[in-house]
Amino acid sequence: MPTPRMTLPTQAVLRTLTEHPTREFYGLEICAAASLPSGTIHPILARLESLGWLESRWEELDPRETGRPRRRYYSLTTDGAMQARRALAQVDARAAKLNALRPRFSGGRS
Amino acid sequence: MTGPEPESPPAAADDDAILLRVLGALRTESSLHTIPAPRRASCDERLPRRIPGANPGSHSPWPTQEPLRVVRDASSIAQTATGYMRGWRRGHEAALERRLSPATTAAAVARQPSSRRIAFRAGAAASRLVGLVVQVLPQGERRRYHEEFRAELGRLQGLHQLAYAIRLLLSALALRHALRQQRPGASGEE
Repeated sequence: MPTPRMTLPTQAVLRTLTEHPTREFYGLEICAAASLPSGTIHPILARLESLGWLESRWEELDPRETGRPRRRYYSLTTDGAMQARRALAQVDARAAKLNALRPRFSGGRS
Repeated sequence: MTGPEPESPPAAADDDAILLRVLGALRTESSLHTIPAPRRASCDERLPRRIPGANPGSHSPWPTQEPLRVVRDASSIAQTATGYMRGWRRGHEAALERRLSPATTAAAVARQPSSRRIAFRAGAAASRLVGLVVQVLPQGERRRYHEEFRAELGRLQGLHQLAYAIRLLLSALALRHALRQQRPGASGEE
């Protein structure tokens, strides 16, 4: 299965979702939990959904009764949760290696 | 020359006799017009027993008066007693009156519609921007994202709505690119 580009916002979204693998979030909730500006995560969500890491569903309510549009809820698929953890672990390992190569910048031993 | 001697004052014995006669006359008189003796106040009758809470009972001078509830609200007491002991109460009241004067209130009311107007305009502009963003997306995804964006827009207020819509606009091309790479048949349309 292909892996998305692990940009910092993508990592933030995946970390948020893997912390609560069974919970469903709608867009603004993910933004708030991942400390990302609202309105910036839909390309990420679309990409992760196209890869099968995420699945989404409509909120179960009648918009005419409640007088507001339905929300779209996103959650990790089982496979997506595993892939996301693996991808995040690779990113962390890579970051640790980079920090080891640059001890001065990372605050390690010189 | 010897004339008749002046009458000597009556002797003490005579005085006593006169006094006795007068007293005797008075006694006789009093026996004729008997003055009723004052009725003697009696303490034999028992006083009514006092029952706390029941007396004066039905003889209350305010039988219909409702008992007042005692309210000791510290904040309301503080409001009316601020600076009271220093004689500032009038000043405090004057300040309150000035703060609530019609001119000040009118200014506040005049300001309020302005902020509401801004919020309304920001919301309307945000809705138009969302409509524009949706037009950039692939045809099959427009309906889904229009409802999704409007639902999220409804959770925000005023200028936050506008900021959200601007960020959507900035990321619209990235979203379109991501949706074009989507697997076939993975559309969110119902």
